[in-house]
Amino acid sequence: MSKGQSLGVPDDQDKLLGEALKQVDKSSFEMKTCLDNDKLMDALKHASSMLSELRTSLLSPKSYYELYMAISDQLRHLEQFLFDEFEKGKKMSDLYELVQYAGNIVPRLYLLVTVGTVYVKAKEGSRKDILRDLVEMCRGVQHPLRGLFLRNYLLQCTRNLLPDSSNDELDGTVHDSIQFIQHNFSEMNKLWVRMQHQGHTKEKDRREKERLELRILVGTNLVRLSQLEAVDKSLYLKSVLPNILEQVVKCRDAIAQEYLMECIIQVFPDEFHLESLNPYLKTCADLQEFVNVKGIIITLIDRLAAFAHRSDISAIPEDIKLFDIFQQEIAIVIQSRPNMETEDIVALYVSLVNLAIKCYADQLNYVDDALKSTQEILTKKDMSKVGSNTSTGRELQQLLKVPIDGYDAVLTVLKLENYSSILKHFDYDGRKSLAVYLLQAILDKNEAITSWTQVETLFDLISPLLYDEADQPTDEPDPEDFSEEQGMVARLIHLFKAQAPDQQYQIINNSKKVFVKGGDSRVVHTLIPVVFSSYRLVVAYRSIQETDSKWFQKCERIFQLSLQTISELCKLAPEPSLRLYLQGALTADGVGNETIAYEFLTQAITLYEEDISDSREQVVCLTLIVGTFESMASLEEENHEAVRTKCAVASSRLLKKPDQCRCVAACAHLFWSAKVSDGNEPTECHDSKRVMECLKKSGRIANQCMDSVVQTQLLVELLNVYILFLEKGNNEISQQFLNQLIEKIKGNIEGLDKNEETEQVIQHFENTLTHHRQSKQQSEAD
Amino acid sequence: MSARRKVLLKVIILGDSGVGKTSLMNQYVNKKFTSQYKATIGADFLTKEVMVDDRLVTMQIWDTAGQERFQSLGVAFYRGADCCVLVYDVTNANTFKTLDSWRDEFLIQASPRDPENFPFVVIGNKIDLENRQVPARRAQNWCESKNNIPYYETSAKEAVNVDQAFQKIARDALAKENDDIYKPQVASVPDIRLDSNTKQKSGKCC
Repeated sequence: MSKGQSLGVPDDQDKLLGEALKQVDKSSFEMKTCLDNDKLMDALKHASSMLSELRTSLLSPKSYYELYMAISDQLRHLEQFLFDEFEKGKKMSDLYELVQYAGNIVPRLYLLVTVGTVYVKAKEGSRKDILRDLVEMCRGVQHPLRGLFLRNYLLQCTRNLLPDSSNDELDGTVHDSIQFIQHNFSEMNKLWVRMQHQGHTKEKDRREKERLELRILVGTNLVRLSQLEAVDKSLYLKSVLPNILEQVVKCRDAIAQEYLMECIIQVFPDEFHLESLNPYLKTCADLQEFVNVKGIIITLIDRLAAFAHRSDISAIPEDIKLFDIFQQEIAIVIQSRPNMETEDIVALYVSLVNLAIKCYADQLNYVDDALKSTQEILTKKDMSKVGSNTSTGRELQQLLKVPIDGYDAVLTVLKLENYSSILKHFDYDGRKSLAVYLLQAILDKNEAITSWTQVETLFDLISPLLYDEADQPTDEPDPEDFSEEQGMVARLIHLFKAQAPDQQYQIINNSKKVFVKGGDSRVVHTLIPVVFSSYRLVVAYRSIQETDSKWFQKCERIFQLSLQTISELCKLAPEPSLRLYLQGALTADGVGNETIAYEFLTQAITLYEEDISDSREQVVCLTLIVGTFESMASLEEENHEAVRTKCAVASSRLLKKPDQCRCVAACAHLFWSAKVSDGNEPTECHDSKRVMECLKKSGRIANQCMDSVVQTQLLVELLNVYILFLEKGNNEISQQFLNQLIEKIKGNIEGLDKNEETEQVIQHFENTLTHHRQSKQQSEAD
Repeated sequence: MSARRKVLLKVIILGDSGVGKTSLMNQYVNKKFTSQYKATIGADFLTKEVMVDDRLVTMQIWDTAGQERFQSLGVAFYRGADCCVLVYDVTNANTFKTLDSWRDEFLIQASPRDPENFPFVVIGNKIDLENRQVPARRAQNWCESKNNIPYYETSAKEAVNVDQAFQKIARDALAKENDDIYKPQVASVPDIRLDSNTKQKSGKCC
């Protein structure tokens, strides 16, 4: 909120105002003292001298307003006293005559209004006559600033005294009130407009600023009209609005026109605006050239859109074709103002689109029409490569964002035929930022995309995220931004959810072809979710195997495509590719396709051998391979044997002893719980001897570890594995053997320094023993 | 006892656009409500006479524009206020968040003598609506943190609690007005010359 200070010369203003306020304090004090002593004539004299301060020409509007406020606060005391006098039997008509003898016109008229107010309240004379008299008398002050404030005082004092019914001819009806206000309004508007033509031309800027500050006083007339309860729609249409509009057009002053047109929108209710669109909009076209018609129309549209949204659609009567009316009007305004800025034209269409979405959400053609008109204008003006940070660019962005934000379903945007043609007028950054905005909205709302046509349209809108484009900047994009954008595209893929698997296949397969065109830097983000959705699709096909006899072949085709897709990723992202192969192996295993499952598994192992060279990564990958393999069930003995052996060999070839030790122990499971198929039923291996071999080998490797803490830790872990297999019924493992291992560990522990690390190992060991003891007791009890 | 028995109290209603300031005032003064939305521009007042205990009080209630751009002449009308009412819409959390700045703005512009103890009343309006966003507890906490501002929840539409809130406003404003009387009203005017007939010395009394 603005400070109560004027521009110009603030110090000077403060001083002048301070002095005036001091005088007001003094005179008002004396006035009140006289009132307290029932000396009305003296009180009026002091009131008059207080009011004389308002005769100044030195104060800026804001300072004058402060002075006016201080004085009108004091006049309330006088008014209250007068009312008390009336209640005691004093005749107000006498007083009304009396104050007219005050010497100077400004104090005289303020006093007259003050007494007049009580005169009306006293009901001594006809209300309408007194009001008419007051508004006529105010003509006596023709100095714009003083006149505006005097008339504002009149408006303030009479606020609750205006006749507001239609049937008291004598005392006054609402028509008298309308006439009273409109008379005052027309006089105030004249004073206000006249300010523009007073004084030196070089002070034009200051004058315009001061006029803008004073606009509120003129607008108060419209507020009064809107407060009359007897003014209903028909009276508004018949008597109120035409008169205001006539004043507006007639004054031929841009500042007044712009303000009053907006003021009408603000102070009268939406229900009235709906009924008066035609005369109002017609006036818009008749305004002075420099009037910001765009702003006026946008204010009106946005208010009606909000109104419709708030109340519900039925608030707009069916016979009022809001969209058509505004669309025509906008076309007329644009046509009649050839110098209108492009950004202003676009801004008008932004509002129109907003109106269409808020009021007619299911009429997509409305929005499309508006987009088309905008597009035609852009083409006519030969606007291309519009920067998103130019003013036209910002409006255009807004034009495209309104539908994204406005529709309940973001994907409705895809149905707008002219949406992408607007997008083409942007430069690269503009297109990209809109692509990101659209994508984010879809992701936020988690909207399923169910057909390839939809996907294709969407891809067209977000193409800057999918490929390199001819006009993109030559320097590398920020890596963080880039991977964030690609991450969004990746998440989008999970929203592809066609009803039928065949359609889903089409979406996945076609979109993969698109993603591949994105180049190495993009596919590492986008192809991974493509493969995952392919696997999901396999599961979907299996679930409809009863109704789709070709499901198995279709799955096979998906696997082949997936293998191909992963092979394109292998060199770029070996580790994720390995995981994709393993996931593929599990998926194929799940649908009982041994050949494919084996293929995926061997691809994973090959990739491990050829492309995973970091020793840490090797451990992680090998563990994954062993774990995946263990849980599969479709491999027959020949293939199973090959993979088992491969895993065991690879484990013993790891670089570090502890890794070897752990992985070899893990391989033991491949000889026990891993399942081998005979073509029908899978059975677990349960090869006790080979398990024992793995564990013994693991033990030997542990003993080769030089660090005694690590060695002990490994032996404790191995003891756990032994116990596990013992419990599972591996009869190669004897209690005696376990005891030897336990003694070995105990011996090791004695030689360890006590610290936090060894504490943990010891604790682990003791927990293991406790578990073993309990499970032995349990099995003996059984 | 002076001839001017009635006390004049000035009350300012502040808050964001659309929270129902005009509706509250109209409901209180005229016992009327309309669902038609008309934006308030500038500032305007209505008066109402009320009894506070056994005192007859005239309240001058200033309804203000919630949108700053409609106060083109500034806020000189804040001066001399006896109570400030801060209104928010319980279904719109933003209108609650801005209470802080409305309060600060008022204290800066009105510059009351004793800002710490200046009477405020907070009103959460539109409790007739269903989609409430600001819990009463949250509003109460805020009020407590600001030197225990009295808090009322109202519906201007259904006339719930409006009278009670304004009764409190009148009472607090009157208490403040009475306090002020003991301070020199016209300290800036040293050369007071009283009429020879005047026997009273106090600058302002009631």
